[in-house]
Amino acid sequence: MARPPRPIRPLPPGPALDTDEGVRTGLVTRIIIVLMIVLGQLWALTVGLEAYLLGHTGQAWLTAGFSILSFIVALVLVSLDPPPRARRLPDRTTAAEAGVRKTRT
Amino acid sequence: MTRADPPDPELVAERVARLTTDALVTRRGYLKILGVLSGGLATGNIAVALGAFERRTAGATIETVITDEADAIPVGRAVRFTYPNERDPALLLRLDDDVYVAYSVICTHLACEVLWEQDDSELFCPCHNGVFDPVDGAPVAGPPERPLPQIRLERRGTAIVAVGEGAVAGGERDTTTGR
Repeated sequence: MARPPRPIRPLPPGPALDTDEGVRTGLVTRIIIVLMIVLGQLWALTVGLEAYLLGHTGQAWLTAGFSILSFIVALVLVSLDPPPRARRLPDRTTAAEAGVRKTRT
Repeated sequence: MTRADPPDPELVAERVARLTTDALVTRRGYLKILGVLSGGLATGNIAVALGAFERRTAGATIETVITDEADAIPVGRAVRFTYPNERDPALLLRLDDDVYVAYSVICTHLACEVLWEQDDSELFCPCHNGVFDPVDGAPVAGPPERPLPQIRLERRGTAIVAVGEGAVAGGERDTTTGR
């Protein structure tokens, strides 16, 4: 007796951010990156303060520049907007859980 | 209300609603908080580079008579005074017959008060065993990396007067020679 063919799960039909799962993953990724940027800025602040107190103003400005650039990168990451929920494709699990659970993003 | 009584459904519903709504910070909310934090740190770093956090005593020009009888201080001894305010401890050292130096004695590591160790001829911070050179205030041992801020002195007759705070780092040795 022939076995029924295994169901084929299709790949997501578009970019990852077109699904709720993709948006959530993207947000968590951005949170982790911005967190690392903030840690780098904390380091830069301590180095800059030490440099300033030692009279090395140039080095203090260098760390300030690093911190500003880091902030610009963080700002870009914070301000990226995913596609609105209405335009997103359904998750792969949506069919099984339709209407049961919606995670806020 | 006894233990057997069923809980009030309205109360339960209210508590559940409070628990599920108050504590919710979305991922997007966390991201925005981190963004604001990043902006604050960048602003702080610019403020540091601009010199907004300069030492409170830097650039002081107040004149304070430390002693009227400079010769009464034995060589190798120190006199404690405060400069420029009463909350800023400082030490006047007589290193040689005609050589006097003065430093702010707030340790440049973690702001403990530095002491004069006459036996070892060194300025010693008891908090973390930091040692400073009495000749120029430079750190020679322990965790401090910045020299003690020097106080400029003037000899006026037999008196020694503090006339200002010198540079925090580097700078030439500023000693007051007698006569």
